Amino acid sequence: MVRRLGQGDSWAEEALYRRHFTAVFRVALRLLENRADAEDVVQDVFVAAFADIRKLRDPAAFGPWVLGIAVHRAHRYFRRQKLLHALGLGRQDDPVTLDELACEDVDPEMRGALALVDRELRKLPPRKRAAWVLRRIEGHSLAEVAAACACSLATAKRWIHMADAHIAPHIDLEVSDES
Amino acid sequence: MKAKLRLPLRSTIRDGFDEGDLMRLWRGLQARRSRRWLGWRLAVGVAAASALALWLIVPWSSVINRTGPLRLATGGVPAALVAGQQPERLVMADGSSMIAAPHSKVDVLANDARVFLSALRQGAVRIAVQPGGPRRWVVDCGPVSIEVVGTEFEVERAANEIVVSVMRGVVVVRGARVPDHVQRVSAGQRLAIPTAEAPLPKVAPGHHEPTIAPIPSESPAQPAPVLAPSEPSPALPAMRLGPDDMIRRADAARRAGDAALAKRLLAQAFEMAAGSPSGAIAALTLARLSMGEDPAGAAAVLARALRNRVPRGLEEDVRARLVEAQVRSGDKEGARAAAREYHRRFPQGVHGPEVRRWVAE
Repeated sequence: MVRRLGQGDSWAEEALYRRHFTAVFRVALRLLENRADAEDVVQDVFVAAFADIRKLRDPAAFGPWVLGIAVHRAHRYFRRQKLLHALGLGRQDDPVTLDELACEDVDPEMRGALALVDRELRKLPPRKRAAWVLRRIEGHSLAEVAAACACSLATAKRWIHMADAHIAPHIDLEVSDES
Repeated sequence: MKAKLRLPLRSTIRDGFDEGDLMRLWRGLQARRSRRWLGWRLAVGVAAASALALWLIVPWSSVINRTGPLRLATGGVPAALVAGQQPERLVMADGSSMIAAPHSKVDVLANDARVFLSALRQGAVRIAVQPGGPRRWVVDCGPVSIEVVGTEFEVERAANEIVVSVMRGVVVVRGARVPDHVQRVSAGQRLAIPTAEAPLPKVAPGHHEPTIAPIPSESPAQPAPVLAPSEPSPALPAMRLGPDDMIRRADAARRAGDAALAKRLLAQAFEMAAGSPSGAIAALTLARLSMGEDPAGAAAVLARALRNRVPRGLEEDVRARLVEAQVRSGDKEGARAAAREYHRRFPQGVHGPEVRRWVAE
């Protein structure tokens, strides 16, 4: 499908967009905690991905590659919003938090735990936060996290462990798979 | 005592968007790309020389104006196609045509240089699009949209399902209830999409009887002919849905807030795949969705899954959830027996504390 996209097949464009939209949107929303910003970033990401598709050497890497664009764009957006806030020009919307997005069958105790996670995540530097979100919330592999965060595997592991250590005093984290 | 969370958290967090959002952002994305492309061309023209730029801009906009909307062969711009007791037909200037079956209605929502967008409100319509044209043809059919480039296809909107049959070329069908949310349907294929109220149809290959039969060519002066009863066309292979497709569609339905459809799809997936990992996943998810309103039903599904053999990797979760369901439905004896079995098989199980707590309540 990526090859067909490179040849200008518009059906392949939409199919790829649909296939990867969920992953990109979830990461953008988690990193920016603002729906309108996340939507802007998602559109930016796919515009950039389709424009630069010929630079992608390995078609099978489209998923991690587009996720990397999403993380990079989200960081840029975040820095811009921070600057606007500092100048008193930023948006005043309430953040979209993890507990607000919890599934209907999640009990109140778990919702409280999610709210705690959200609060502690906000205190982390953006890169560590992105690595933890990709790994501990979205369940991406370490290799995918490293690719998306444009760092080495060792660095990604270190960031995730540091974020774990930051959150662990408040919540018991049971990790189901460390592969 | 600290709160506990099992990682990754993915399955406890909703996606936060629905099909409408996805399509809205897709359209916005397309608009951004058009502006970007056009902006680049204009920038090149302006940089060349101001007089040259003016010469480039003026014919550019007049080219767009000249292409304009798709007109009828008889002149005028189509607005709607409404058929009473007899079929009705529209023939376009480029040779494309739309034929509405009796008691059908099609509205034209947008018609410009780039797209011809119509909406099938009721009944059935056959559309033949001349290949090589500049426009995308899109037919909106409620929860499903169909996009074509150069093809002949039929779409029927019945009470329980929407059926797309392709005679020539390829169409792209989109919607929350379409497998993977988008499918390509080629000549000789037929895709049936159940609506929210309908149970899943039993999909099987067989004869396809088109709602609208082919019309012989006519001269423009003659009135539209009465259509003869349809001839059966060659058997069209239908698109099969496997249990994994149904589980994915159930996820989409759940995210869209349609828990009833999600449960029906999961029940169907379980029937098809009991004894396999997919069947166990379907049973677990169905039980989770049913736990609040129908814990006895949830317990029944989980018990059946265990009788049909659950893969080892999922057995612990299924057994733990069975205890929970039986406690919630008031079956204390059953819950105690299920809890004993859980502890026997999984003495160090991750759900051990919860199972003990449920039975003790």
